[in-house]
Amino acid sequence: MKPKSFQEIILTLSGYWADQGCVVLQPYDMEVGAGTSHPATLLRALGPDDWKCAYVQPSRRPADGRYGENPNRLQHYYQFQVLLKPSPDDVLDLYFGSLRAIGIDPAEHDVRLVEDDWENPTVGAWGLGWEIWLNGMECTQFTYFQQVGGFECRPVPAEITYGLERLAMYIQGVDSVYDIEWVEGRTYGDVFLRNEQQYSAYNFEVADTEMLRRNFDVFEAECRRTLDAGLALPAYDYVLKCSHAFNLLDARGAIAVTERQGFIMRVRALAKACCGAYIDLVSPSAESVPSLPEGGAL
Amino acid sequence: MPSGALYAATSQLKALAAAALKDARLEYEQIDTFGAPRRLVLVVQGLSERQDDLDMRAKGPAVRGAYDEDGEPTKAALGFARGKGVDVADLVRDTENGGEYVYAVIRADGLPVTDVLPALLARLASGIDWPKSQRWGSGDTKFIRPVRWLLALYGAEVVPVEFAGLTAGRVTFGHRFLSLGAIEVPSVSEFFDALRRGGVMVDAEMRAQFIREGIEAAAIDAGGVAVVPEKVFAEVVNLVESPSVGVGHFDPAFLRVPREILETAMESHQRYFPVEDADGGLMDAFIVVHNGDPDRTETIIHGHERVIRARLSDAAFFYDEDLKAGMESWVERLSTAVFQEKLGSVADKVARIERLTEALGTLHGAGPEETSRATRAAHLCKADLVSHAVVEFPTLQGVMGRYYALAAGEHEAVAQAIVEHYLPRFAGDALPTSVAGLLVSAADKLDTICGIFALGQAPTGSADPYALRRSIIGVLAMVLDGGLRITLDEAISAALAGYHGALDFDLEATGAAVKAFALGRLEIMLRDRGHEFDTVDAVLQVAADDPADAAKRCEALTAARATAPMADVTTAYARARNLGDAALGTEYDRSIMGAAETALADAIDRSESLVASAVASADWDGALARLAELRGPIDTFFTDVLVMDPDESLRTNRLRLLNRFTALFAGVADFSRLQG
Repeated sequence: MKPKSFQEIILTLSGYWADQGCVVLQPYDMEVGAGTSHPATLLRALGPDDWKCAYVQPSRRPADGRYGENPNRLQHYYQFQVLLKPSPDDVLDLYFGSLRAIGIDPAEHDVRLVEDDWENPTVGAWGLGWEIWLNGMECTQFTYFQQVGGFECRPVPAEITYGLERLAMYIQGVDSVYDIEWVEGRTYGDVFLRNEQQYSAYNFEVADTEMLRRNFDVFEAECRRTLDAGLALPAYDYVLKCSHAFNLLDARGAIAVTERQGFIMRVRALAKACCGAYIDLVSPSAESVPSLPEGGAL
Repeated sequence: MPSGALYAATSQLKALAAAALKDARLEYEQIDTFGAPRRLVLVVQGLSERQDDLDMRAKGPAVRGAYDEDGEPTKAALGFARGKGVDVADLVRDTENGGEYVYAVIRADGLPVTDVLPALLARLASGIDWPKSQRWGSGDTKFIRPVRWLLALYGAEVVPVEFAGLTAGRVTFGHRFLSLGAIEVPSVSEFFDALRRGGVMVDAEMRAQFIREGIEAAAIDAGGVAVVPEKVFAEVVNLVESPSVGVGHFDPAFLRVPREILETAMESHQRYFPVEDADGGLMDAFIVVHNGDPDRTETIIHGHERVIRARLSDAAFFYDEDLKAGMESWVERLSTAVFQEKLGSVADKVARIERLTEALGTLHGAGPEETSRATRAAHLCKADLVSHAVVEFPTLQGVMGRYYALAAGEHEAVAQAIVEHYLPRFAGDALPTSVAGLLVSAADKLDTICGIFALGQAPTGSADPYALRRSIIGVLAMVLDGGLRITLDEAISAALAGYHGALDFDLEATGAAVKAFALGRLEIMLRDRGHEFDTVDAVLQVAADDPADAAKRCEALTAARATAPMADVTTAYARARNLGDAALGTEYDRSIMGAAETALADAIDRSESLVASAVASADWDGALARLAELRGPIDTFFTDVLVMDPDESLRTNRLRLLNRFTALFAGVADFSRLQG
């Protein structure tokens, strides 16, 4: 059987998780560093309600660009993200079912779960979980979220993040990400090589650092103003904008040693405040989860 | 369950079970625990069927208040007996602390083991202390990972343990992919066979042995010898429930990349074992321990070969890019790497280390060539931290710096010092072998110690977040055993000078604190070398600034103190010092001396210049031997002469002579610190 193309893999995973009762979403329409940052994961992981979703998320890591010259590294790549809250008892079996769906039968391979605890101090989040190794290749990250924004997750969601390019390279037997068949007659390189070249140059050489600094300040202020108006969801957009501005400044080498921690703390304070406001929004009676005070410092 | 935590839990469970069974008054013959990635197993053999009965005594009122004059029980006794549920006639008497009391003897009949086990086993499950634990689903139980099933059997009988929202049964599950569905286990005796049929080797020791043999066979297959770091091996044992071992190969062209990169890529990222040829060179083969179907090893290995190809391509790409970049550009980039928030960037640190290396070079007496190589190495020592290879493989810091320095045409001594400046990494580790390596290593460590002390963050108790104790022990080890010649005061003040103007701190107080910190460690290190507490104390009173010298003095003094003459002289010294009055000085009058006094004075005259020249040449054995030779004259003096003569002029003269005697010792050690 012909291995699945990149878009067939995405369509198959979407269909599989739709069959498991997931809301299949589209990518969030803002720059994020990882699928976890999509509000459907980061915010929906909080609060008492059940929630299952699946989506593809383009992830931007400006500092990871390699001008299209490295076969494994990209400043823009895709994650397929699943969040299941509460984590089902058979969550790992469901995941292995998804591998079968895209043409990888775990019984025919060496599949191992290797300890990988996840922590993202910038959003005050952590969880325990696994890297899933397929014949030695890390193809998926699996995390039971314990805290987000400094708040306990109850119930506990399970997050599954597939590295789509890696899986596709494996399934298709190609050694460069640019050789992935996106669809018959079109490679990943046809679609994205020029982007990698241009964005690497922009991220490392061109981005206007003064503008980015100004933007960071403006976005931060807007986030606070929006929170003051009691609007957690739009406020969270400005956390993402701040994060991306920071990542670009970082790629440009424009963040001095002494500034770095300060920037991270500022993003973290905003993220925590948004998480607190979101909890208030979805669980108005939950007295056990106080929102952070203005400033959210911790 | 993760590998490391599983090992700890397996041994913890054994200890917890032993304690719990003892508490529950249950006898047993043997406890074994086993761990595999998906299961933690406790097997108790020879378990008694019932708890032992228990007699407990409860103390009641004093006998005087328990019975009236007629010997009839009082209300107090009746109430006590009723409260304890015993007949008042069954109360017994005993004395305690001189008083006589009544006691109720309460007999608890032992319960059948099957009544006790459910709660006992549930407590065991919740009693394991995991390094990190988590909740899952909608539950509140915490465990290392979600608990999916419980099996508990007493013989053939199910023990319905309740834990984590589950109730134990007789069902288990085998290998995640190679076993079909639930496995019913009829009885304990069939448990291990059932798991074996389910594709699980549950005993970690058996897996380890199986894997070790497999690795050896695979290496022979590949025509070489496997490189098996224990840490990776131990982890691999707990990553598989059904181990199989195979050999894969990669393109020999990758062997042009430094071996450490290839090894790290194979070991730390993939948990593969590299293979060496007979000459110790790396081969184009690697050994995989996998968890898949043994019959599919070939296709599985093929998959692993593709993965290692990508890994090694990545590593080779990083290496080639690094070679193009040049170290000087990295040195500049260090300004974007944090050393310590308040102590600035790594670039700032490098600038300080360069200056400090030069200062230490002067102290050490290094030649101009050695010093220039050392300062060059100091300039480059942290450059590789921003190289692709080290960002990817942080454990290769220094190692890659050496390769890149050589590639850039730096002198071998410079390259060597770059890798050596991280030594020693722990107590007992190898020390730098080159002067440049010693100087840069000491400069790096002293810079960190002094900077953190200047911030007022000296280690306290167990809190030593910057591992400063390890650093100072490293510096001292280089001085004691590595041939580094530095003195503490000058080295510390040179290191603190690096922070002048950049940090606001009390120079004198910080210097004193660092010195005290160093001496505290030095004292322990010297004692660890077998020197008595008072020997170390006596030496450090006079030679604290120069640790190498202090160590030599300790060795000489320890050896000397084991000899009879030295022991006697030391006793005489103590006596002389107790009598002596320093205010009297050392100028005596020979004309009023008797024979024993004159003999001592003559001996001292002869010794003075000899001791002085031995001290001047740091010949401590020699100096101590000269001092020991005074045993005869001083013993005769104390036997024949009454020091505290009623005649003041005689007395004073004799005390002056004794002062002269004790003064002889001062250049070697403070003998007043020696005990007995």
